[in-house]
Amino acid sequence: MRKAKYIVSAALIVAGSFLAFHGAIRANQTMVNAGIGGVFIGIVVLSFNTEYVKLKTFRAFSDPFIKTLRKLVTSLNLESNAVYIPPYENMPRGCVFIPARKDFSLDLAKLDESVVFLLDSEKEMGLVLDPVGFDLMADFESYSEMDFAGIGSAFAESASSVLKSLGLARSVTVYEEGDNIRIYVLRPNVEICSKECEKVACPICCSILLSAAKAYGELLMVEEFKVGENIEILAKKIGGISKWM
Amino acid sequence: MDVDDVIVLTLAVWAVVCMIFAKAIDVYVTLILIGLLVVAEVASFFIDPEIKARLNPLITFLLFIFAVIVVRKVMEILKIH
Repeated sequence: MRKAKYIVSAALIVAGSFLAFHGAIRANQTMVNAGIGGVFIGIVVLSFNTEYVKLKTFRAFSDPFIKTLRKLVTSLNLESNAVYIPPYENMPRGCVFIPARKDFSLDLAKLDESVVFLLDSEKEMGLVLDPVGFDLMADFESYSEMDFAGIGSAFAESASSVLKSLGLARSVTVYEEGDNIRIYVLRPNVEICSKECEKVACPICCSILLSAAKAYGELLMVEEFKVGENIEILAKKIGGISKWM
Repeated sequence: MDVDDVIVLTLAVWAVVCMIFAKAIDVYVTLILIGLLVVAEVASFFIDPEIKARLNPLITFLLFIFAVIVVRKVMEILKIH
C-alpha cells in the first residue's frame, strides 16, 4: 500500500510537471493549471504517506499482554478498582495503582518507576503498573499541540479526534457530575474491553483515563465500566498529587 | 476510508474544481493555497504532527509564490497610476 502511494505520487508529480511544461510552451492555460494541480496532489499524497499497522495485528500484539496483566490481577485477589495517577515527579509517565483493599491508603512519595508491588502495610498494599495508554496520550497531546495538564474536560476533544483519526473509536465525550466524571467512548474498535477494564484497562480506555487524570490534575478512581456497543466509564476524582503525598 | 484519505481526497477535489474554474495561474495557485491552509487548520487535530511537518515546506513555497503574485500586482497598479 505504501509502495503504491509512492508510485501514484511520483506519477502525478512527473505527469504534472510534463503537462505544466507542455502547457507553458503551447500557451495553454488549462494545461498549465492541470499540471500544477497534478504536482500539488502528488506532493500531498506523498506527504500523507504514513505506515500503519493493521488493527488485527495490533490486537494480536496487545491483547495477550492485557490478558496476562488481568490474570495477574485476578490471581493477586486485588479487591479495589484501578486508580489512575497523573504524571508527577517520581512517575513522569504517571501510573495505574490497583490497591489490594477497597479502603486503601496511598503515599505517592513511596512510588517510583522501579516499584511494582507496594507491600508496606495492609492498607497500602497494591500493584503499580506502567500505564499502557501513555503513548496514546502522548499522541493526543502532540496532535493537538498542547499539554493536557490542568485543561479539564477539553482533553476529550483532542482524544476524540486522534482516536477517530487512528480508527480506534468514533468519539469521546466527558461529563462532570461533581466529583464524578462520566466518559463515553463511542464505537471503540477494540474487542478486549470488558468489565475487567475496571482493574486493567485496554490501551484506549487507559489513555483516556490517564489523560483525564492529567487534565484534571487529580487521581481518578474507576467506579464502573459499562461495556456494550459503546463504553461508559464512571470515575471519581479523589484529590490531587499533594493530597496523597 | 480513514481520515487521512478524506483529507487527501478533499484537497484533490478542490484542486480539480479550481482547475476547471480558474482562468489564470496566479488565481489557481492562490486558490490551492487557500484550500491547503483551510484543510490544514480545520483538520489540524486529525493530522499526524509528522505529516504537518512534511506539509510545511509546501505551504511555505505556495506562500512565497503568493507573495510574488501580490508584489507583481502592486507593481502593475503602481505603473498604471
